Amino acid sequence: MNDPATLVPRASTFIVIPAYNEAPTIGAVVRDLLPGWPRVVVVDDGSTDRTADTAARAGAEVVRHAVNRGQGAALQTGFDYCLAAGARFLVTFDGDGQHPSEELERLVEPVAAGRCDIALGSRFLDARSDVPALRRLLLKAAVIFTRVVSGLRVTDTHNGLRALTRDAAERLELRADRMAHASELLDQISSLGLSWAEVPVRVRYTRHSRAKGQRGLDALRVLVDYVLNRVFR
Amino acid sequence: MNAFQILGISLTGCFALLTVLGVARRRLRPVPGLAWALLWVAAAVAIARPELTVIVAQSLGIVRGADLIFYLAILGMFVGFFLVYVRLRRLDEGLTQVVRRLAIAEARHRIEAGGGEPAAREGESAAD
Repeated sequence: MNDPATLVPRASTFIVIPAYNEAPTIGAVVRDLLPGWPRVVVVDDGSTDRTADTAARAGAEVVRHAVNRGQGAALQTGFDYCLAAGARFLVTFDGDGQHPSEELERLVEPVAAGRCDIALGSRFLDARSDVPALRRLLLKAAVIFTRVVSGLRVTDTHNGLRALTRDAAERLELRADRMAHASELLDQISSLGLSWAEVPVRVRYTRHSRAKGQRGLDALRVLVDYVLNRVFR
Repeated sequence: MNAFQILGISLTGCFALLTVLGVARRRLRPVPGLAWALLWVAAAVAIARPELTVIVAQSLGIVRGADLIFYLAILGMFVGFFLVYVRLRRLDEGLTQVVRRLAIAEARHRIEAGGGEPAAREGESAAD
């Protein structure tokens, strides 16, 4: 009974992968997930490469934005699609290959067991992730900012690995289309009173994921985007 | 009255008339229409009687009427930028909604047509 595998209903757990120009990695990511997780939904966010075709050939259900709207918008599209398709649990997962699929069972388990509404992956709860120094600094600054603004004492804010219940996904409404959605989601967890827990996860830093990751100037953009979204929502 | 005053008053008068017609034809809402009409009338008065701007400026602690006009123009420009930005954000949100609905509808259509189910995979070894 304590075996996590018995608690997680994989057939009704949908993996949502927002993807923008991820053709080099998305096929391998989907194939890595599919044997164990039958519902993999790739939201192609208006990619100009063959992301959608590659994901579909690998076996994912593909939802395709006609034009690029940002990762937050793609995630909300994925949530809407999965809820309409009858998802009981939803997982957000990155398409750049930095998340190992072995982490999912442990991530979904507290949500499936009813111990919390949302499980947030954290790369800082153990030493398995080799986070580059500059990124570690930016992420730590983001953690402090989030703790001050949302009041959530999280250890990682911009980690794409999360698991949530259907009820939580129905209540969340991501309006920040671009990267500020990660902070917005934490804000909504706080304001909606959703229960949450952090789960240690490993993040792999590959050349591709480093190239696609956020840099210093991007962090500033995210901050400006976040503030504007709070002002105008 | 000099040539500039004649030209300026004629132009602001035309804009005021267009604004009133816009409200009458329901192309402009009454409140913004009234605000625009007042703005054109104020501009016409400032052009016709520039000494009035000096009186208003000095009552606000500004020495020259031209400075008052300049400050108001800058202020108006920023208000304009802000309103355009708000409008753009609304359009952006609307665009996201449209893109989302279209994306989901297309995906569901593909699935109903049998092209998007996991069973339709070409195989795990498909080349990327």
